[in-house]
Amino acid sequence: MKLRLTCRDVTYKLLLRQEQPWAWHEHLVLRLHWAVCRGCQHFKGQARTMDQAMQAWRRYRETGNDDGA
Amino acid sequence: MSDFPHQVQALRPQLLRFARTQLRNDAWAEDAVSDTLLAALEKPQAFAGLSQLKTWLVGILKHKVVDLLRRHAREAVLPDEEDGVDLDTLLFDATGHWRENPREWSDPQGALAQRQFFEVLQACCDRLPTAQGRAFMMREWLELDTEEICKTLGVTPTNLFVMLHRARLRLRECLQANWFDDKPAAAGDAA
Repeated sequence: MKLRLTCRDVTYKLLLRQEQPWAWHEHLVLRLHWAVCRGCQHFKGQARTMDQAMQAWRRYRETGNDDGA
Repeated sequence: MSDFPHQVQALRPQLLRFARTQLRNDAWAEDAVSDTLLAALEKPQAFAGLSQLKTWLVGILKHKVVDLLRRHAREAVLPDEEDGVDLDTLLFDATGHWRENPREWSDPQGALAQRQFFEVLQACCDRLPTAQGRAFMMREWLELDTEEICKTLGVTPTNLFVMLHRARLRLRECLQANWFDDKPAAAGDAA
């Protein structure tokens, strides 16, 4: 396992965390990266927003007043 | 129940829209929606009224969509036409670090409360390249797990992960460009 991840590595792991859950040591290395990388911190927040948006979108599509236009 | 056929028929445009987003093929989408409406009209008593009619129909549609994807598995994963955009190269330099740091998104909770945001999200999903879009929607809308998606589409988990990663990166870029870039930057973002 790499101890120093690039922003590209961190982004890949973050976007696939549902499919490939992190082992404890990966979590640790990711936290170390986020502690020092402002860009990846912001990306992490954006990924969280996208997760929430997809959940809300499912509800909106299936129960909301979507006119299908 | 006399209104039932009309109520079902009235939801057809919405179902068709969902099916198109998932299947990215108008003929398949028409088939899936027709099968759904037929199933509903043949057994109206199956609608117990415990959920909204739309929720019940969407549940049937999801099954029809999965059946259809299985029938067309070979065509469903034809190589993507992509769009010539290599997001990895655009976003990261040769050392794998951001060319330009992502900004903090302003008021994400406010966005989630707006209908227009979901219209933008829908448009961004519709714009995903075909195979990526299918795989992404199978995960996010049909909520299938990795094994089921791979089995249905006949792809390896590695291929699926690449498709999902690219789809999510594209979605993020699309939301950034079409929603969050229009909003004022969050306080302290320039730090």
